[in-house]
Amino acid sequence: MNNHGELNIIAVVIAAAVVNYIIRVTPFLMTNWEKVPLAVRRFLTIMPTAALGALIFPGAFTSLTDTGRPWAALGGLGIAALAAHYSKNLIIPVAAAVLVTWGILQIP
Amino acid sequence: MAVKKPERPVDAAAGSRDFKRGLKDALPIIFGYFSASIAFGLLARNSSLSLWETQSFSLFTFTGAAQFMALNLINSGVSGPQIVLAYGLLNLRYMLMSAAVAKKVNFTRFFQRPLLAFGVTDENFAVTTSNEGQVSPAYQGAVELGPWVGWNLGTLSGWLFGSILPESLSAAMVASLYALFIALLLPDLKKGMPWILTAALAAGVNTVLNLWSSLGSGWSFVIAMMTGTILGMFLIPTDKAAG
Repeated sequence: MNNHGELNIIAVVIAAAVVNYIIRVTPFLMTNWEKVPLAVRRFLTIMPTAALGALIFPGAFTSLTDTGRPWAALGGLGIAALAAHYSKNLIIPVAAAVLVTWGILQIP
Repeated sequence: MAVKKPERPVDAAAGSRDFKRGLKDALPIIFGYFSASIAFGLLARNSSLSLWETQSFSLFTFTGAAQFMALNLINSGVSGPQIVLAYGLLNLRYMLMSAAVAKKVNFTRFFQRPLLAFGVTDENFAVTTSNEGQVSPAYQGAVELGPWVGWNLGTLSGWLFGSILPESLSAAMVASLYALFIALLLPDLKKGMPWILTAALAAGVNTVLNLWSSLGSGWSFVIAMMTGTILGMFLIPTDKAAG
């Protein structure tokens, strides 16, 4: 099952950490954020919404492929959305989704 | 001659109060991260990563979704530079979040800037920006440090003990990550149809590319995210997303 024999994981982590830190630290060192072109700021404002859409689909379903019940994700996502609608507290949708998904996977 | 009053003790008291308030606000993230990272630790071990390799991902990069993506790419035999590139592209979104957080924190010393830049994530960005007005560096420190500790303890527990969890429970644990995503997406969806279409197009493109193309999950994600964002730029009025 080990098919990354030649890949130096630690080197990947170091490079990824440096890239990540540059991304995160640049705006912290920048004091003239208002001078960035409007189109770029619009792009960056809208991007998180698109990113979240693509993060959920199809990952929520394919992460359950091994269980033979990828559709169980519908239950977890549904209850999480419902809980998030009524509560600002993030732990409630998270706990509810784990419980419901686990419950669906228990059905014989 | 006027004697300057010592300011340190006062600063320290306010700092400690703000730090506690930050930890309290971050509590749901700490628990959410703990359970999501158990899944990461377990998946990493199942992908034959050593404990140190696994833990260093969480210690030094601290990026939920990108770490899972990296495991996928490692398992599919993708080369190191490609993994790093995909990592960077997936995390470009932190630029905007960092910018929003940086504007929100009331920095008093320069070193606080490079230090507090390290731990900005989707979730603690949402918590910080939900505050009225400015937040103190101590508050921001707690909002970043708490989840970082939770994420790392979960990673450790997942690698060490994840395999003794029943398979259905560890599969369900992964649901915690997607629950966090949907909880964060929901406020965007409530802003109206253009935002819903933006997320839906990205979701649709990512699903199609992942299931029926040979692009791989890293590139599929980037293309999907760009497609959705570009549609959003056409649909969403400028005053609603000026940044």
